[in-house]
Amino acid sequence: MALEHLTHDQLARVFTAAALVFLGVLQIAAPSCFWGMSMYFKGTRAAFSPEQRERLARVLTARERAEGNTDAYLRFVGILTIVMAPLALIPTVPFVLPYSLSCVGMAAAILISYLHFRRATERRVAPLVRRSVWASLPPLAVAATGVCLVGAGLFAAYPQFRAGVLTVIVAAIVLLAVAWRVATAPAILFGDDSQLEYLVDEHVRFSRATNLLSLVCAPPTVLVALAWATLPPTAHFFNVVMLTVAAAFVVVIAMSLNPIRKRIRLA
Amino acid sequence: MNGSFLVVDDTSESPPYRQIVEQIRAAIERGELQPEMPLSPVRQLAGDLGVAPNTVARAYAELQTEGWLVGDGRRGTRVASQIPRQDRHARARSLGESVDRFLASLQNRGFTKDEIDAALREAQT
Repeated sequence: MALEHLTHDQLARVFTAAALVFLGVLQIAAPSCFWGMSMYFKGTRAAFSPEQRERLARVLTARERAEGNTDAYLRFVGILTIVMAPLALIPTVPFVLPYSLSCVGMAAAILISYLHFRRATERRVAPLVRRSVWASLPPLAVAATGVCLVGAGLFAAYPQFRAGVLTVIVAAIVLLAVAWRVATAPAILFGDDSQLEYLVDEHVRFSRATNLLSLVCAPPTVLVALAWATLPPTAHFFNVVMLTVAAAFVVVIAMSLNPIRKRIRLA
Repeated sequence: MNGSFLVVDDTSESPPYRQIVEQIRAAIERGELQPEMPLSPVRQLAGDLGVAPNTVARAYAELQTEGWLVGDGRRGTRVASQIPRQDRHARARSLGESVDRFLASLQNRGFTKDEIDAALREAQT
């Protein structure tokens, strides 16, 4: 088989390119998997009465309409992801660069939808409660994100990974800025069903902010996994780093998926 | 969240800061905002309402002067523990101010005193 003759680096590049094409196709074919607001209310819907479910559907429909054609934004990111896949095969390009750019593209799509949403509201309704940014960016998830980044940074000890480390750090800074922007964005309510709109806003904000944290963690985790595979088995320290980064990534993913299960409660 | 929301209406004759003052005062009087309850920071509320931070700061300052809110740098702005609702004079003054503003708003729209009196009497029957 042709793959047997490839070096570790070449294998990593082939794997990355194939994964990017798969990701791009998925982003084009099923954008709601990455994005859809409705999926974050599965647990809530199950606990609601038929009347409350109807209210929730109305609020979500109004919000989705106000956010614009988010599926189109993500399909555009999917096309970019596929177009960038061959970049991963070029030996002089860090293999995490196209994936990092794809993650930044997804974050940009989230930000664009928020800005679109903000312009879509004419009435100005505000809750009188104090919000904490840490309610949307849980400290444990932020700490785990930090672990992923520090873990990836340690691979800069090897000259062949330095460009890759620099790429993921730059992408992470951009993604963190977007996550912070989403976590601190104003609550945007239409005033038709303010209480439920506020609860939905909080739930969506948490979901999007923690999703962005998982996007921050993804490129460093890919870098660490593929770089670690090329190291000799005697690099014990990096075995520990690899395991720690993987564990931190799992924590962030678990927290970003938690809103699907978590229910919102109406007073 | 117990349903305390502010609405700023651009089409209202009342300036945004006045709308904020009246709605917070009404929410305290209705008991929706309890004593010692912390309120949104100025910047957060201004962002949510799409108004300048100075507008919210002015409203909070007026409510602090009237004794509805208290503020200290570290703990932010909170509902006062002893609110003027329990003070008969302050309550009467607040009602008088609201009636004056209401009447002035109707007169600005061209309604005569007799028309307003008639409408008020009809509304109460």
